[in-house]
This record gives sequence, C-alpha cells and structure tokens, in this order.
Amino acid sequence: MGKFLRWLVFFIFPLVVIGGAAILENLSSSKMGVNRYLLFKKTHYATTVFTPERIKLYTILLIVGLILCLFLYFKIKMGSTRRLLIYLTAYQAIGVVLLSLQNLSAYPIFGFGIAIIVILQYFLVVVVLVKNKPCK
Amino acid sequence: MKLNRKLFLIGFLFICSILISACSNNEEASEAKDSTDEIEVLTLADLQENLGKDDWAVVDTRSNDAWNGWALDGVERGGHIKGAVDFSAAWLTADVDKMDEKISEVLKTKGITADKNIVLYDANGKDAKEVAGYLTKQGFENVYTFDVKEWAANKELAMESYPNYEMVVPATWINDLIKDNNDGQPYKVFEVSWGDEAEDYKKGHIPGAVHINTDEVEEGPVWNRLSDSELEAFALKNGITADTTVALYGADPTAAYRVAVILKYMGVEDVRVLNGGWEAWSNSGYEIEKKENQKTAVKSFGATVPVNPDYIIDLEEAKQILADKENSILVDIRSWDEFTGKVSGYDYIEPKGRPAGSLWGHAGSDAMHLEDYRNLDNTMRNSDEILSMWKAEGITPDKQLAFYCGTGWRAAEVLFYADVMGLENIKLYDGGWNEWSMDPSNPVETGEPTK
Repeated sequence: MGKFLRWLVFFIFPLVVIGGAAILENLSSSKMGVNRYLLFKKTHYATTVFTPERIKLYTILLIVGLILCLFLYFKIKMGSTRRLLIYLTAYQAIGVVLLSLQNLSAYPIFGFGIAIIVILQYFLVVVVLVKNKPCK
Repeated sequence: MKLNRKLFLIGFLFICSILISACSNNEEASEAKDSTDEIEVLTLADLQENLGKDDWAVVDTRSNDAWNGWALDGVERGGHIKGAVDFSAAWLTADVDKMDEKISEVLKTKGITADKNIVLYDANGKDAKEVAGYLTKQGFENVYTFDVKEWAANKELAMESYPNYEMVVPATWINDLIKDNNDGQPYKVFEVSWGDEAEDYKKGHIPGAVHINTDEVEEGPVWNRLSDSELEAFALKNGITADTTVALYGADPTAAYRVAVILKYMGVEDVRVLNGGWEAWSNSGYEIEKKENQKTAVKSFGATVPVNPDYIIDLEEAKQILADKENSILVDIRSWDEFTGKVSGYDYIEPKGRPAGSLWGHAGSDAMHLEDYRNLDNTMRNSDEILSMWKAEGITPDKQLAFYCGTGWRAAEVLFYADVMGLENIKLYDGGWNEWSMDPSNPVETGEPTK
C-alpha cells in the first residue's frame, strides 16, 4: 500500500497535473474559449498569487529547496529516501523553469500544479525521514 | 429439406417486402412530383388584386440576397414585392437541429398558414416549386406560384429593398469580384476566424482569400479593439487601404462582422460581408482553394484612423447614452439568461447582469448563438421582423441606438444589419458587459426589467 501510494504521488499525480496543464496550453492555440479563459485567469492571478515579486520569491524558495535536497542526497545513505530526494530535486528544477516561462497561456495552472506537487513531496520526504529515524 | 423450404419462404417474403416498399416510395415520389406540377400559376392581375388581403400570403421563395435588394436571376429590379413575406427555398435544406419544428415556427411567425391562399414567387422556376412541394406535404391546399420577373419588369409596381443592401453580399457577387478583378480597383477577400492556426481556412477557402485572426484587431482581457495606431498597422499588414473593396466571410459569420465594423470605424469605404458565411459559398458550388495565401502589405492607409470615430464607442460614451434616456438606448444583444443575470455567458466573465437601464434587444439561445437575427441558413433576418422585435422591447430606430453584447461580436453583427436596414444613429459599445462589469462602481441590474 505504501509503495502504491508513493508511486501514485510521485508519478501519477504529477503526470496528471503537469499533463493537464500541458493539454490546456496546447488547446489554447486552437480553441478560442480555452485561450480567453486562460488569459482571464492569468490576468487575475497576475495581480494576486503570481505578482512579479511573488514569482521571484517562489523561484528563490525552489532554488533553496533544490540545493537543500541535493545536500541531503549526498548526506543520507538510505536508498529509498535518496530516490525521493532525486525526484523532489527534479520537480523543483522543473518548477524553476516553468516559473520563468511567463508567456505560457496556462502559466498559473502550471504554477499551482508544481506548487502542489512540491509541497506534497516535501511532506512525504519528511514522513519517510521521521519513520526511518534510527532509534536511540 | 425442411430447412431449405423455410429459407426459401423467408427469402421470398423479404424480396416481396422490398418490392412493395419500393413501389410505395415511387408512388409517393410521383405523387409529390404531380402535386408540384399541378400547382396553379397566378397571373399578374390576380396577384395585384389579392395582394394585401388578410386571407392571402405572398411569399418570396428566392435567396435572402434577392429579398434584400440584389437583382439576381435576370430580374430587372432587385428587392421584394411590397407586402410580401420571405421564406427562402434554401431554408428547407439548411443544416439545423429540429428542422421541421423550426420551419413550422418560421411559417407561423410569417403568417404562412394553411387556411390562407399562398402565392409563392421566384425568378428561377425552381424555388417556388420546392417550397410548394414542402407546403403541400404539410397539408396546404391553396398554393399558387408566380414569376417575379413579370412584376419587376413593370416599374409602376412597388418593390422594396433595404437602403444599404449592398453591404451584405451573395456568393455570386464575390465570385464576380474575383473574376472581374474588381475592374482593376483594389480589393481583398478575407476569411475571418480566431487563431493563427486557421483551421476553417485550411479546410478550404474562397480563391485568393487571406486569413485574418480576430486577435489582429482586439486584445484581452477587455477584448476591445486595438488602439488606432495598432489598427492602422493591422490594415497596412493586410494590404487594406481606405479605398480597398474588402469582402469578409467566416464559418462563424459573427467574426467577419466584428472585423467589418472595425474596418468601417477605421474608414474603409467599401466593406462587404458574405451573407450566410462560408456555408453560402460552399453551397453555391464555386471553386474552393486550399493553398495558403500570404498577406501583402501596403505602405499607406490613405486616411487618418479613425475616419468614423462615432461608429464604435467606449465606456464613458455608453454611460452618456444611458443618462440620455429621452434620445438614446443602450441595446443588449445577449440571450435572455445573460440579460437577466442568470448566467454570464462566458467562462472568462464572472459577474452576471446588465448595465442598469439597458434594454433587451434579443440575440439567441446562448452566448454562442444569434438566431433572433438570422434565418435558418444564417443569412440576415427580415428587417420588419427585427424592428417589430425591438418595438416590443421599447427600442425604436428614431433614437440613438448603441448595441453591446459580451465582448462586441454579436453586437457588431446586429450593428451591421442595422446599417443595412438604413438606420443612421447607430453604434457599437465595444467593451460591452465584459468591460462594464469589471468596474464594480458601474450600476448593474439583474432579473426581469420593470416595464
């Protein structure tokens, strides 16, 4: 069950979120309704969640997280946790790239998607670390 | 052996049933043919005597373009017989859901009922017969035909055309424009739809036509027209000057009307839209081209944009129109549900309602449709019916009328029709409900209006 849950969280869920956003991005060049809806959302979030200042802040957080994960990767010897850290590092790197692509029509959808994935994965890493903490 | 007999019996019965049904179909077809052949042809004198009587309905069965004012099929004068109603034979083959239901609704609206004597006129000897065939099947008994050429040849007999009928054109006009190279004068044919990918254009287009993406003339999130300098750049890029004859069409005619209204605002003197959209061209049997034509730029527009600044207005002018109740009306061209605030009509517009004080000018079943202004084949609806629809809502053409919708597409089509009908004090409120609802301080109403 634990393995299945991890598989679901690390592979299926990110695939669905990023894949869904990518489909919307693709449709935005062929469907007028999708294009206008995404622009409407983008304009709305550009004044709230995705202001230029906040995007900078999110980017910094992701980079710091990425460095931290890499640091832990070399520190920790436990195989399963190392794998989790590699995935987390990769998703954070993808997040940094996506945050820089502000001309994407589905920009806020990508943004929200990557935020949910990263938060969820940090949570899992912490759970695994706590669970596997050696007893004194 | 028994099995063979059984099989023989089943086969025999099957063949018999096919033969019986084929015979009955032939009988039906020949009956229908006979019924249209037997229809009495009315004389000019008989038509003159009965025109205007309550128990007679005179029906123009030609294309909507002929009704509007175009002299087609060798008719000496364009337009329709004064006192006639329109029911084009083309509507019988239109691609519409619940066709029979819609046709009977249209017939009823136009007063074409079985208890009357029905005179069906055409100019090609086909249209009236087609409609007659349909009506006789529906139980109409007193049906006559008449050749309108006879009426049109006598200049003393009244015919009516819309004052600016030339603005919406038949497919044959565009075909002649291309064939005659507009007598050496500059002209352009454009397919108008949203998007750079231009799927409708790639499927096939009018020969020589170039694609215009509606995003070339408007910009989100308000979706108002671009600035005057940007519009001028758009015209130059597309090779449009103030004296270029521009013919526009689209699979969705509304997109073509949107660009047409903007071109008129800019100052293009001769802007035409294909009546009925792409379907009108594809049904006409004219050549369809598939190769992609490139835009050819020009260096000067030849006038200062905008030449007709009052043709399109913005938020402040819309407020002035609402304030001047005596002389002006802000006309809502949206569905009833959008007008009353039940829905916004768009995924990208959240608020629901209408500018307080605006009147409902009808539109269609939802934000994607404009049935109240179109015939079954997507051509322009009869002007008398549009005016009476407005009158019932308190909209009269003696006042200044500013049309708006969600983002200026549907209202642009209605503005263009109003122009065709000869109304003068008319304009488009470009921003429409989208712009109005963006500022919470603008007064908004919902629900049914209080009369």
